[in-house]
Amino acid sequence: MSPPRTAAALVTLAALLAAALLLFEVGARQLTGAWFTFGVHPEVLRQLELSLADQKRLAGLDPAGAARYHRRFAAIESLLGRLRILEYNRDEVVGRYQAALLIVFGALAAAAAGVYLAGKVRQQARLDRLRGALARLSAGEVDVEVGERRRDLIGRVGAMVEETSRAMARDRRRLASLENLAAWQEAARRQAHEMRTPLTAARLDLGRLHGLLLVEKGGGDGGDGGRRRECLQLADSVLEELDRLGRFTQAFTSFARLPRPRLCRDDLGAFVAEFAATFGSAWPNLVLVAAAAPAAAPGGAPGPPPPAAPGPGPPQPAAAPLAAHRGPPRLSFDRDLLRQVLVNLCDNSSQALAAASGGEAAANGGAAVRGTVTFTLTPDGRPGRGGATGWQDRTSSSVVALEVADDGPGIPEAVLPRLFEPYATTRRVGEGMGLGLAISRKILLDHGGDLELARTSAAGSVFRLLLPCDREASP
Amino acid sequence: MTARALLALAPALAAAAALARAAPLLAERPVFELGADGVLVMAAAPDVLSNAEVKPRLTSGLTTSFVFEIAVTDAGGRKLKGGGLVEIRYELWDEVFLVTATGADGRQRRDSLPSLDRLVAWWRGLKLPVLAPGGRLAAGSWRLVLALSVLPFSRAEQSETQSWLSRSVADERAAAARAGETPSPAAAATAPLSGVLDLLVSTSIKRRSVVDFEWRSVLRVRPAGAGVGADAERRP
Repeated sequence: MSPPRTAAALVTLAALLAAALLLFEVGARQLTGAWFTFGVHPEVLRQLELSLADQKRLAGLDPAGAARYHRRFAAIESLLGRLRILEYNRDEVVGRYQAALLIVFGALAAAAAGVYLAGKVRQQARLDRLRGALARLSAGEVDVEVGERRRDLIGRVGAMVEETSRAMARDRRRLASLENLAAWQEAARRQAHEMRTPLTAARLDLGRLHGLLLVEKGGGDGGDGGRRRECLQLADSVLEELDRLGRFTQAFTSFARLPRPRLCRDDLGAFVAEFAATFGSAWPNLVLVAAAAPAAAPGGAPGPPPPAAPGPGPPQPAAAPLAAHRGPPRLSFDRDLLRQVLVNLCDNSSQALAAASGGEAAANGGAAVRGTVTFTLTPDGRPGRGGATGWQDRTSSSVVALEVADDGPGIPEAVLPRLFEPYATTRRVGEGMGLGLAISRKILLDHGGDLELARTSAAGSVFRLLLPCDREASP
Repeated sequence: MTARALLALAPALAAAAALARAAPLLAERPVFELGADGVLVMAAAPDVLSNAEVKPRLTSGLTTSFVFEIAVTDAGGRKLKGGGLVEIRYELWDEVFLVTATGADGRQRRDSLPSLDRLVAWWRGLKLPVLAPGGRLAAGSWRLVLALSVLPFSRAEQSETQSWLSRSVADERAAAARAGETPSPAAAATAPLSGVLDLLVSTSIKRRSVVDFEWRSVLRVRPAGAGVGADAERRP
């Protein structure tokens, strides 16, 4: 609390305390005076004096009980004496009693004031922390921690600030990724363009050369015939290389011209189940399993865990078919693009599994080793995204996570920092461009979501597809 | 005359009224005798017992204490102090006055007197040693100041009443505890203060004097005895 405020609060408190003490003193003066009057009322004293006289008279009338009457007389006389002494000290006793009450009241009031002041100071400190956090937030800082753990108003506001900060951090990261990918896309577009023109010209020229060689058939079977055949073989070989170059150029083009998602509200669970059924035999070394998530609304608390997914692999929360999923979240997504993402991930899993199991397959007499890819739909349970304060619904949409887990060999640690960057790949030169994950992430970022690697180990990898769930689209 | 002027004059008026009441008493002069052993004895004490403020106290059943304090100062500034105590208690059962006079020499004299008249007569004839200097006072003039405070009850009665008051408060709290009453939050909060508060209330019993007197005299000590010059005044 700032010094002027503290001084003002102290003055106010002191004035209130003084007023309370004054009122108490006035009230106590009235009450204690009356109380004392009851105790040493003149009538009480007179009755006691009469009792004394009665005891003496009784002793005279009943000499046998004189000793008893005497004892009673002495007791009454003693009491009377005490009351007279009290009466004589009336002002002193009443004053002391009032002082005692005032001390008690003052002590209680001071304690209450102390507690109140301490609470005010604490509250001010918390408000200052909140103000500091807001200042950092407005200065562009993200991932701001307020450090409020209490559930009162300030605590809730602090949690809102933290959630807002996290949402800003997420948006900033997403924006940076999009900008980065856009730069890569532009580079890919230019490269594809630069390559496509000479490539097309070379293909046309080579086609014409091939045609000419075929036309000059009648040149004899001697040395010319042998050279022509050799030239035809060379032309076919060059054409084959040009086709390969064309495919690479097409990959550049695909990456550079990723379409904007055409969002349609759909049942993600049903979509994933359909994908698993349709593409079940697309990869000979993979088994696709669509597992159900715990039944819960997006962003809500998960229900009891379903049975585990079949086959080895990373720990999975579900194994029941998604068709049995109760209340599947309906989201807006582009089925074609999302399918492309799933295909890319399955491609990666299949190729990684094939590369890792080459020696193993040879040992098994050529039989391919099969892995499992499991799709699990869950509400996003990451810290800071839940609805602890209910603030998330106001800062961003709820998020649904689709986990794609395989039981492959995992991803080498060296690749992890650049995993989602274009041209980052573990394959040999000529076997892939390393654009699959970059394209997949771009698709999800365009959806307003994200793609992240949840975990990877020698037992497998888990990718998490995060998709925003519009409020109006939420169940 | 304004109210403020009346208020300002009030103490003076009260003192004048008290002086007027005490005037006959102050006219009386105590007489002092110097014994052969050097003990200064007050004889023919002024009739304090008939004073309007003192007389009702005598039959209250409490012990009325008359505390004498004497100070004599010679021309050289040497000061000697002494005093005496007379306690009078009316025994209500037997209807007698029990008196105890304790002199500066430590001797006590007890009497039982059946009536107020006899008590007054006893008082008149009382010879109370008030100064025991341990030797004979030097011959010459001594300035003498005799003060008398009349207290409504004795020290023993004061302490007995104080302890009775303390016991009453403690008994009340103990009775509440025996009855199993749960102390209120306020009572629990103030429990540490209760001892201090008990002390505060129980020590409120004071022995304020009912009335005070003061006489000033000149004591002339001759080799064979003493004489008293009398200037007496009442302390407020």
